[in-house]
Amino acid sequence: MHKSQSALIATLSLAMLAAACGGSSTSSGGSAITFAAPVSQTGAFGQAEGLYTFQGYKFCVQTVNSQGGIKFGGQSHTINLVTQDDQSVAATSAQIVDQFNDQGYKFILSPYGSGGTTAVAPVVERNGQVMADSNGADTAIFSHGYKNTFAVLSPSSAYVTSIIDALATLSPAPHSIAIIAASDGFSQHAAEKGVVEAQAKGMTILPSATSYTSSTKVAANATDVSSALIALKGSNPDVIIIAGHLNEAVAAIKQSSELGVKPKDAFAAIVAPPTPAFITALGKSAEGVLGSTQWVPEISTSDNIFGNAKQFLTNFTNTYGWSPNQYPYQAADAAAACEAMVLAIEKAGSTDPTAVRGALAALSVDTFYGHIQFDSTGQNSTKSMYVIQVQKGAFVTVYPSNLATKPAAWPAIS
Amino acid sequence: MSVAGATSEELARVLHGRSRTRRELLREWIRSRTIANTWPLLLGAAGFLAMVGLQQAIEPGTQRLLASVFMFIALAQAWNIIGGYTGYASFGQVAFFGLGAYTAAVLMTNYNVSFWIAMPAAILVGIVFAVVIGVPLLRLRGHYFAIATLGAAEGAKEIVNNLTGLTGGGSGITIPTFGTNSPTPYLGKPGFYLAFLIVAAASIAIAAALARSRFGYAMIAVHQDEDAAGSVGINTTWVKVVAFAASGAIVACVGAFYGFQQIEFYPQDVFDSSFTVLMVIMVVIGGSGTVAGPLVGAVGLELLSQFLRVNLGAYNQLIFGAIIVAVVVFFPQGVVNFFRDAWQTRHLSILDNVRRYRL
Amino acid sequence: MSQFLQAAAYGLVQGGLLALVAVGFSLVWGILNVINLSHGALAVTGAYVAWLLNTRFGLDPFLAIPVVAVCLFALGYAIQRWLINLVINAPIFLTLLLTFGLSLVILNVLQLAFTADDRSVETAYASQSFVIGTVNIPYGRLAACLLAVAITAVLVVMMTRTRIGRAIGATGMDRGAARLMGIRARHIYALTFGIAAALAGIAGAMIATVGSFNPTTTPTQLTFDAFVISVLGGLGNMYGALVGGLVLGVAESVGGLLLTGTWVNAIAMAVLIFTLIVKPSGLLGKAQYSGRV
Repeated sequence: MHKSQSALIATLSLAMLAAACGGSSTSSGGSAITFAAPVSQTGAFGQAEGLYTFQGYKFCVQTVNSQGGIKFGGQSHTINLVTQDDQSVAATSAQIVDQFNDQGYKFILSPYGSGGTTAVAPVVERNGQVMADSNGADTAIFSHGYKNTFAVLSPSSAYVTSIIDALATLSPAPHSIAIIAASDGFSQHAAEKGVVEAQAKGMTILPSATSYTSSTKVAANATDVSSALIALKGSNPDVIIIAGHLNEAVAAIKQSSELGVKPKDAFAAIVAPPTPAFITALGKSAEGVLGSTQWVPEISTSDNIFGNAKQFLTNFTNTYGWSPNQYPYQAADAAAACEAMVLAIEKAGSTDPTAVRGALAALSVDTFYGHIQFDSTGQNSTKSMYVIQVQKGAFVTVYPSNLATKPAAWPAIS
Repeated sequence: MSVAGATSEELARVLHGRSRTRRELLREWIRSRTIANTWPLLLGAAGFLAMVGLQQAIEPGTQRLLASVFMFIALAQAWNIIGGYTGYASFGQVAFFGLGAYTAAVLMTNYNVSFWIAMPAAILVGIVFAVVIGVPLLRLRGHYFAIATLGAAEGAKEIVNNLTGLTGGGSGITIPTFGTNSPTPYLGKPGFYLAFLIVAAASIAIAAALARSRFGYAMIAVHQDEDAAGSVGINTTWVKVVAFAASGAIVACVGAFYGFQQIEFYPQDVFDSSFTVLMVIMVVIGGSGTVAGPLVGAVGLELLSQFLRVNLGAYNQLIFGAIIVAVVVFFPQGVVNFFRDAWQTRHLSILDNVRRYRL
Repeated sequence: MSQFLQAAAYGLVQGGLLALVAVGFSLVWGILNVINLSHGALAVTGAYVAWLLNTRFGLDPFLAIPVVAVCLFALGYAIQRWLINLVINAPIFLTLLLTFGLSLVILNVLQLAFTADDRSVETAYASQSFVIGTVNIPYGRLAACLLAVAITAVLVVMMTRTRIGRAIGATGMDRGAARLMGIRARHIYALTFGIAAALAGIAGAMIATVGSFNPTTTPTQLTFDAFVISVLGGLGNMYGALVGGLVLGVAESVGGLLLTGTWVNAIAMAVLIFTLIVKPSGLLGKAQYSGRV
């Protein structure tokens, strides 16, 4: 029957039209905003830290877009994430960010690591772009007077000091520690501040307070740290702290039993232990190792985008297939950097880089990541670092005590 | 001219092996220029002007890409001088690159020296280093020379790495480019495009001049049979060291510009052995022992590797390696030489090429 | 003093492992006059094979050695027979480039398949050590060191006593003459490369057990160490790599103690250049090999 069919079609079309017009939210769609990031998909960081950072950025963009995007001035803008592989080479990251500028991308998310971030920061400064730094902690980056780079993570000075503070709360507290430090700026600086903190807590540094610059200094990314361990032979430290990245920590733990240079209580390391790659590399030898981390899921702050830390962990690990016991904290750093950029744009109410830069400088907000606020150099000194311990292949938060889920296994070495 | 009527001036000239004055020689040379023997010079000048003009038409991002192409042209030409013509395959040219970069950076950062003084200083350092390691190492040949220069490059890197007070060591060095501290304003992408273009043009000119001069013949003679060359009176040590120093000076100059362009770098960035590898690959694939070979190789490979990096992400190194293998197997004498031979013999066969060096 | 003794002892066993890496490299260089820049890549391939066998089937790495050797032998034979033989008569840098390109391909395949993460093979005993006085000697590295000595001895016997071994030696001395004697040079070359690849694979399996490895930095370090040891020990003599490895191991270990750990590579370099200038044929090498272009 033609009449009723056409009436039906007309009604349906009218209904669809009505739905399309009136069905969207109160704000209408604005133009997309681009976040551009050099990511390490190949090379040394290719499948580990670079991957975690990339996933963090993607997760943040997906989450924000699913909630309608960045909203200001009565409009919502979806985020368009543009990335390019920098092959884990700092010079390539800088070149990519320069090319981003030519394409008009002013909002930059940092590459992984202090090396890449150090190379990109002057480029960002020169081009008038704005960068949210997720994983470049070296304080040297912020000593040149750059105004356009803002780091959400705690600076390098906190990496070893947080471990020392955690050790001081254990009983029996260790009296002597040894620090093996890699030769790159980040590790050396972390070690330097750690030595100061340890002495303030009354601990002795073995073999001497400056040996992290000489006899216990190792080449960055070294897979053989025997010279540092042999230099420690006979001094019997309670704790050996490795200030470096994954390779140095793995090598030190493996070679220590070869050389018979084991600490009495435990090993500790920065950067490496709270990553899945550490457990894959060491297996059972990773048990009991302490590590400082930028984020744990037990922190209590929350925000409107990700919820609280536990919800972030659940959603992130479900999306990318990680185990909630072996989560990569670099992804949380990345998501937080991206979130800071989002909040700044919303606060500035525009996409003008100068306005957004000003909004970032004035930002003071609680998020799933903790408190984000930047000092005059662009670092986030309002957030502290936490310490985890590897127990039965899972990351267990042990410091500070109000966030600890279980007591630390102490001494960790029998 | 007769001996009897010769003046003492003319006698002196003849005893030095010249039958005419320099001015007469120059006039003769200019008069003898035809299109057939001037076309490389004209082509080069035209190319240079074209590149300068191109700068107006492209965006800064592409300028940076082309600047890196020019950089590799200069590096390839420099390697060709010692590796292609003289036959001493140096695997440590990156030592000059790093030393040039660090000299410029240290002078600019620690002593607030202008870049235009630091860059010649870098060239000087390159020449001195070439002489210092060249004299003992150029006595070795073949594989041994290659490894020895590789060792020298790694050694230079380690020394720079450990002189933490001067160079910052593993923490890197940053050239101040902002505010009152900076000795020279940053050149910017257009500035560096022009700078690298000029360096590339200069390196091509130097390589061409060397190749066609007596010195060039001496280099080729040393390459083909060093003992025979020595026995006809060529001072082979002098030839080798000068070639090594020329090559080192160009690489050091490029290194200084690169360091300035990067602003912030670590030892492993500027002593990266992949620079050496790329230099060698570009010359060999283009065609060693020619002027056009390194040019073709540098342009082709640099554009290829940029293209691969941007478009093929995770697979780019893999494909790059496969392409190297393929080109070495199919064009062992280099692309330019292959096409030149094919043109001259009117015979184009890639399969014959494969059979050329096989067992 | 005890630190010095420990450094020396550790350097010795470390050197044994390095010698194992270098002996195949030295063989290829001496016989084929090819510097195999993909040697480190082949070693790491062996490491991955051992790792796979250990994680999938729980096979102890020392027991996995025969499997690793066979796999790598086949791979090496194929590479030499159908790839490197194509440019063997070309100037040296062509073979260098070819092996470099090959190493890029192998390493990136490994990286795509296994990711760039560090890996190692877990064994209960490899990191344990026994103590003599105050000096600890780790079991894993000691076993690798003894294996290196054993393999070198076997190679020497093979080279001097068996027909194949003497054919290889003859081809290395004068390829033309060897062919005239009826030796199939292509096959012999491929055989030699296959043996070298198998040795590299075994070395890789050992490295996986006592340390860790990844497809980005480990291969370069291994190839570089193999270079230095081959030059130091000299070509043309099977014991050269062994002696070179031990000397380098001790030099690096003791040097790392006296200077800081960051000078280790510089020490290797200094040793290399010193050897090249003073005695290019190496500690044990035959003089005929020192003039090779």
